[in-house]
Amino acid sequence: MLAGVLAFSSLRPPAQGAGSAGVSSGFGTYERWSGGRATDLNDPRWAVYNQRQQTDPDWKGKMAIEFYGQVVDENERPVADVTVKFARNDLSAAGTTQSVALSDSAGRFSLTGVVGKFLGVTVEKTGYYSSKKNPFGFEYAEFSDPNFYQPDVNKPVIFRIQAKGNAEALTVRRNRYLLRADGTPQYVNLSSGRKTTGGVPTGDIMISLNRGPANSAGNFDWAVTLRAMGAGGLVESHDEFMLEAPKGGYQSEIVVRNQVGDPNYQNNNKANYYIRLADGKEYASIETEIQPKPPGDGAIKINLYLNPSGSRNLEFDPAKETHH
Amino acid sequence: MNSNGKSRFKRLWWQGFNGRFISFRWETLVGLFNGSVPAQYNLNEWEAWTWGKGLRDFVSSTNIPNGYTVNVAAHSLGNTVVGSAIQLGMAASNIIMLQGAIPAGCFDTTGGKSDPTSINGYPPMWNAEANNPTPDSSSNLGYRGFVGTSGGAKVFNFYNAVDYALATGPLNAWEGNQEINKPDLLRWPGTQPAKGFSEYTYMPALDQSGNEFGPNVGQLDHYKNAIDLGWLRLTSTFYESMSFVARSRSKAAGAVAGIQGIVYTEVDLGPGSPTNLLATRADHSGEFTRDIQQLQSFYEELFNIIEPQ
Repeated sequence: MLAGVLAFSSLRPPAQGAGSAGVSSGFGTYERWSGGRATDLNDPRWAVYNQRQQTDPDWKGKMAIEFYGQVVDENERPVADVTVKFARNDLSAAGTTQSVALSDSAGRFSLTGVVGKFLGVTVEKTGYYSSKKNPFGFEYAEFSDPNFYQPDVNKPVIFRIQAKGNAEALTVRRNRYLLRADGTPQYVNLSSGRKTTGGVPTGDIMISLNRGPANSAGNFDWAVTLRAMGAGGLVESHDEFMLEAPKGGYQSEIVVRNQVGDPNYQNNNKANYYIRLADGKEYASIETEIQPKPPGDGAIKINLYLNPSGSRNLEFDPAKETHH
Repeated sequence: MNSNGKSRFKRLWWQGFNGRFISFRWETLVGLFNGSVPAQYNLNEWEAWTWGKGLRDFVSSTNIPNGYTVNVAAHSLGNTVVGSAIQLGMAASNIIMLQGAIPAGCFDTTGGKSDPTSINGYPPMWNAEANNPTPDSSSNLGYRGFVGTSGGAKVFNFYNAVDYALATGPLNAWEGNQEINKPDLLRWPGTQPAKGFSEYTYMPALDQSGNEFGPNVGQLDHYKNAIDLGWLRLTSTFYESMSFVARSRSKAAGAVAGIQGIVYTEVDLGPGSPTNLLATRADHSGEFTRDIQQLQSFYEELFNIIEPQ
């Protein structure tokens, strides 16, 4: 199907108070807030916050920044010589000031004596993966923000990295497949990425969506069935790094079900699986996101990492990626 | 077509996109962001809301041949143009919001002051309200619920919770503007009133007996002209009220997860996501300005929305 796209030129970043960009108002650095995160509007810090809003529009960029972190590996051992990249949003002309540090023999690192509103922290070391679950943002001005950070030299923020193994050439494919809401089976060949609807069962996995009518709140009962074809199988994974497919434990079918009224009801679902293909010889990991909501068809996103060699090794190195 | 539009088209083409691509531009009045010229963000928001009709009309015109799927992608304040067009009944298959500079509360009416974790319970906004009240719901010319239906379009919200322009920038970016410049006093030194808008102040509306209307009705529906202090005019249109008077009770749609209402699903662009945009100013437009090698997953995601299997 042909598609048209309308694109919009973006505006530059939204408004800043006039005369405030990169200009010191003559006020000094503000000490960090005492006390932890608070969303209560009766918190006494709001009075100070409001006073600063009136007297110094730039105050949020002048907060004292203090940060303490530690890097550990998959075995909780400290890692030295990890490159730590800091990016703090401040009153500089660029809006962000960047700096770099190295972790010491105890995996520790810190940043002090600088000012800004928000600090981003990333860690990296050759031969290691950095966890995508590592914390990133630390807020110093907005004490109601979920990222509000109270530094404590005795409680460093933990960042995790994992040693790389032997990545092999993997076939990588990211697709989004439409799912009819009436349970019509969709068959996906993971090697080719192609989908067929109904008809003779084929491919590596059958996917179907059953969706009920929406209530007044827009919620609806839904279920998605994932059925492995032929000699294939599925097993859910909660590993962040899906490095190796398991030998066993595969199921022929997994049903993801949500019913209105369930305390944990969701109108989407993200899950990761190891999958053995229909030929029983090839293994892959897949990241899935089910999008069952109306209007129209539902959909499922599948990010595939397939080792065509037949090995269960699924460690992914983008430099060895073979196909999109 | 501007450079962002060209980048988007080129990068989609490499994904396999072979449809028509149209870049829609509207009038803006943005000054330099170096402090020398006031940015007048609120005035540009008003322009954006106003241009929604032009977009809606364009999409329904013969410029879009029959049989084409219409996908509308917008970035930053462009999402206010699109939000306006949706509210006016624009017919599209997919709406792709990229780092939207539009209140999440326009789409999702849930929550409020008593629940700071809810979409419309963002504490800095409610703190500002305590000192300087503004309208909330769309029934009172506020933002909440203004874009309540999508006309059958699927709305995809691409967000970055630490976006510089929408949330984490130090100099009164989107959130700071909502806190400080609503209602808009046009307090910038040397600023001349433009297009007749100037200095909005709260004046409770009175009924014929001289009593205030109810607790919501009539709030802040007047503004005082800065030049002729004796002239008052009722603020009676959505676009003017939302742009110059009403304060969002939520974060910007492009900086928050979990928006319900007409949002179909969301895509995280932030740290740790496959796109991995960070909190720098440049990354507010990172999907256009970063090297393509860093954006493979983003453009695949975009392409898969436009042309699913």
